[in-house]
Amino acid sequence: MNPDATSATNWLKLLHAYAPGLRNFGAIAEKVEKIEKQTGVRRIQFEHPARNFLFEAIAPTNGAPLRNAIILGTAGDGKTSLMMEGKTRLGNPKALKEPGGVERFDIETKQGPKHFIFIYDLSAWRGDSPVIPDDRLKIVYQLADSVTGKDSETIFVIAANDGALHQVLNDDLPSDAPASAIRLREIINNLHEVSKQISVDTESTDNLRLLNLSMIASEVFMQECLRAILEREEWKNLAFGAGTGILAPNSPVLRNYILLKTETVRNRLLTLAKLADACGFHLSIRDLLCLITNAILGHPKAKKGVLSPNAEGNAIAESKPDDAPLHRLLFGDSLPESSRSIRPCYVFLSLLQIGRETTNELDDLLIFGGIDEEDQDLQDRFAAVVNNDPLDQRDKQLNSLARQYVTGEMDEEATLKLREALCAERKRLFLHTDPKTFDGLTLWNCTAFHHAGIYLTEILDKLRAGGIPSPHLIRKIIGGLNRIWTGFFLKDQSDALYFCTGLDVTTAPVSDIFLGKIELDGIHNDNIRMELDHKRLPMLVFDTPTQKNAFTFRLTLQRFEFLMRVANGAMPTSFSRESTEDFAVLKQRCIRDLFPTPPNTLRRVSPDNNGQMGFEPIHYI
Amino acid sequence: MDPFDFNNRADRSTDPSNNSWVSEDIWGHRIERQPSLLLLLEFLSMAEAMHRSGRLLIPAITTSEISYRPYLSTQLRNILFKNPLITEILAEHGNTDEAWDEWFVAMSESVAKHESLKDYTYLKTRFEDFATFESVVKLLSRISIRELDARQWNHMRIYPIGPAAYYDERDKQFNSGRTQFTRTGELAYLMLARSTRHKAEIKSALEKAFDTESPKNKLLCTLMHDKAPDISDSDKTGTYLPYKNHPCYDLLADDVHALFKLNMPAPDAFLHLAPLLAFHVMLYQLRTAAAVLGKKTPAIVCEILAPKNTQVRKASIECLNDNELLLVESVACFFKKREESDERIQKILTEDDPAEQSTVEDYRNALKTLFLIKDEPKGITIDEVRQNALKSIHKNFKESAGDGFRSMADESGLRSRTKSRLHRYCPSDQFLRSMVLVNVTKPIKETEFLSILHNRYGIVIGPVQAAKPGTINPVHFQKNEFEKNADRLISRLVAMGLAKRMSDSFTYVINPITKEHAA
Repeated sequence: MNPDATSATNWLKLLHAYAPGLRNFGAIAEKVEKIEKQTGVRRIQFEHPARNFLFEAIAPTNGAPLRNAIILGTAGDGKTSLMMEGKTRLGNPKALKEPGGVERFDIETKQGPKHFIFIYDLSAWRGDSPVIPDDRLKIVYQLADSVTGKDSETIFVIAANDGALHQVLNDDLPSDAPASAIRLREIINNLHEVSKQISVDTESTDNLRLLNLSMIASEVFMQECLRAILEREEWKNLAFGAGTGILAPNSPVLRNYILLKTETVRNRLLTLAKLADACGFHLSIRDLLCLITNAILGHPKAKKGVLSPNAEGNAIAESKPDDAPLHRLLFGDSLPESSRSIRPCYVFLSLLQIGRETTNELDDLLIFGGIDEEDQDLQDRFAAVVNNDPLDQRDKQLNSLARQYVTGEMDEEATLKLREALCAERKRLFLHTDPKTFDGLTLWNCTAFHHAGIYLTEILDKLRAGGIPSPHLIRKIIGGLNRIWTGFFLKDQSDALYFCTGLDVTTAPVSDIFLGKIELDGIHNDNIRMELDHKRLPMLVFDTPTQKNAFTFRLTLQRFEFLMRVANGAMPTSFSRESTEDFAVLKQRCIRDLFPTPPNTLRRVSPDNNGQMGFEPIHYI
Repeated sequence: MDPFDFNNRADRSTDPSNNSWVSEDIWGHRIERQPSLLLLLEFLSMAEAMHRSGRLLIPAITTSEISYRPYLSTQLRNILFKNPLITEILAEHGNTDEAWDEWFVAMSESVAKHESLKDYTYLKTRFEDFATFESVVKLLSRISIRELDARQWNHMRIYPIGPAAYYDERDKQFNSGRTQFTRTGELAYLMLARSTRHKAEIKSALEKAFDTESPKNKLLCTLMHDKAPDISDSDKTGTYLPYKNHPCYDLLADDVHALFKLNMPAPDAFLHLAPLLAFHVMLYQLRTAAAVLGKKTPAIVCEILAPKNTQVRKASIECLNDNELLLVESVACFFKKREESDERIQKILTEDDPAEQSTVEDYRNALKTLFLIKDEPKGITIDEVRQNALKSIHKNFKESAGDGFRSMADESGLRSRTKSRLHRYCPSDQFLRSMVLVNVTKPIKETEFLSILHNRYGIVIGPVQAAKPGTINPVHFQKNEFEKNADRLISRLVAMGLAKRMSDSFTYVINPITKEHAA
């Protein structure tokens, strides 16, 4: 094997370690370390987005006092890597290693000599033991002393997921624990309040900085992961090396790598990551590395769905090079369900149902575009949008299946195949089509979230750029809310949000007893407006003149889609039971907070034929 | 709580309609099958009457303290449910005085205990016109409780939007009835009244719900002559809750308090209160049975609906059967212990010749007196008489308290046969939601939630609780199956917006109604 090929193989070996093959996530780091040692190929690395927050705490350059740091986050958010970066920043001193992932070292800092204790994995501290061992409890007390200022010589840097931290400081802390430990527990028990930002310093009397890596946007992690993988020099060996099998120029590995590097695909992935946060998913670094490496190495014929850079992998890549197009791998099509279901990235992508929905316009193009030679417009559009496939990713069977469909020669098996092929084709277009050549918003119609494009451009991006969503859109949201909350088919655009209850319960399917309304007041709509919350995600805010506190709720993509669909005519209960229940609870809370005392007189609402709200007082003496 | 501590017992009442008095001495008179909404309405009817007489939540022990005069709302019920022609009359006569006259004639068919209540002419002065009146009747008819599937007009009810809707049960001739209001709702009220916790807070919340001046209640009252419901002429009495104190009373009070603390409008809170009352009545039966037998607090092993049969399902089926058996055994045990402690019977058994017919006769009479057995227990030997008496008591138990126990488990949403041939504890979404609403005040770990459910109610879902010695049959304990069961619970809570996954090993259970959890 030539040196380039060897180097390329080593690089793919390293990538393979991050791919979805391993179910034990803890084993990934070990495998990567082993390959790194064996081959000399550097692991995938980038500056952690939270590194400066850590450096400011443990190695401040402005002469500020040092702070203890507790790094929280979802597994795979890079807590350990961040700690390694912290240690490097401190000069990478030789440390005394203790069991339980504890390291100690002394260094001279600008603030004098300090004793550092790094705890890499608090989660594993207790193991199977029912209680925390005494020696570790002592370390917790030492941490408490340092945090409360009793001990200013020792600085801790700890990685934990919030569950583990909670356990150590609540369940494991004995009743006779010292006051400093009790104080530390108080701080941690308020964690869900204080950890709403990436970095928070607790009260000035406490010497602690909490870093919550779960607060880092998935989009930021996606950006870093894409750069860290796709811009590695090792790819040159693959691209120019005269390899065979998995390294061959026509192997799916190289083709998928090239496609991943295109601006369109990268932007699509960043958009999806942005949407993940808006749907309540947090994609960790480990998760995203898994997603990207599988998009490169995945293959339905390979063991565990991932190609290995070995003889078997070479044989599969050589004999079935077309079976692993990027648009299938990216959505985990080559992986077994058990492997997909444990990874949030695939759970999120399956929620979007990309390719499972469609429009007549799109299916006309996909089915007739390849066979109707008389419609020149359609042909041109087909050539520009569908046939634009330089790396041969399109399903070659689709044209013949479409022909069979048009001529009515389909049996059940062929129908299923056509459906699958169309679904895959829609995924391909969703991923590769440049929004300039095809209306970008239309492509969202291939997903369960038809209005995701509007959500992104008209709400999320606009708010993040300091703007405000258009009054037209807010009126439509209010139109949807009015329909869900009253049960009446009111106008799809509304100038006021109506609060009504049933005569019996607040959440009655038909709520016709009027409580009050909030009117939209012109362009700025101060009474009903959208703002960004601590995660920089949109919130809907309602103000009434009578209540001091506004009522707010997060406008997730799921909620926005539901509101838009209902505003467009869908029946709330038949569209989504889950969303209907979600909005019922929101209504209950909203009415409780904004209308704590019911009005003295009962007024009934009844819409007219145009969907305009009408009022009918109930007259009785 | 010692069921045999007779200092901790309320005045024992009797009911001539009862065949015997053993289940009643254990759990009260009486727990029977009752839909949860009727349980709630009976509870509210008694509570409102107590409130009206200034005795709300005062522990009622004696017979006179337990008696009350409920609302009847005679005219309201006639207008809403025995008034089929109103729309036709409006269609035929239009919005005219003739329509009123025609309707007054039609309403001469109404049923009331007093003639004065058959006069509806006052309504003409209360509504602008006949059409307005008809629209109000239509509006109110919309909140009739369809789930009750009542075929007779006198059994029809509206949702409890105000005190005037908490009316008592009447038969077709408007005499008192006990088909819908089986006394189980009254027992639930007495349990709450005898609790020692959160009295002031619960009282204040109930008083708010009993506000006669609320617009919705005033709308109901407008339909009645005196602008207030008419009240029963006679006292309702005879309900018997044996124990003055019981830990289950306090447990119920804790949950009712937690529910009212959420500050929901009363009708919204009642939606959750109805199944919650059923659950606590069931829990009271179960724990009292265990106390009679001197056994520890029984577990309630719950399967969170699984796609196929698992060891958890088997454990849950077995647990349900064991718990039902516990009640049966407690009846026999109570019978035995009462017999052993009764001086008259012991005297007959020890001093008289058991072969003598007169001894058997004395024994028969003594048993009849002790357990108020209506039908003479047959038999020519003491043993036969005892067996026949027990048989009759068991039959009575099966038809009342035993059936009530199953009904309460069903109505609370705990017992189900979904995806299984046999019943087991398999909580509904409504049950889980109620559990979160009353047990979660701030975000808590899922493990903490499971342990709260176990510590408070004996509910077993996860492996930690199932592993506790004596909780389940070891044959059914498979750690991974119970782990999956707990995972299914969390997935369901997440889907219902009641939990939030924070990381791979940590989930917060959240109460969506509290302000702090808003998202």
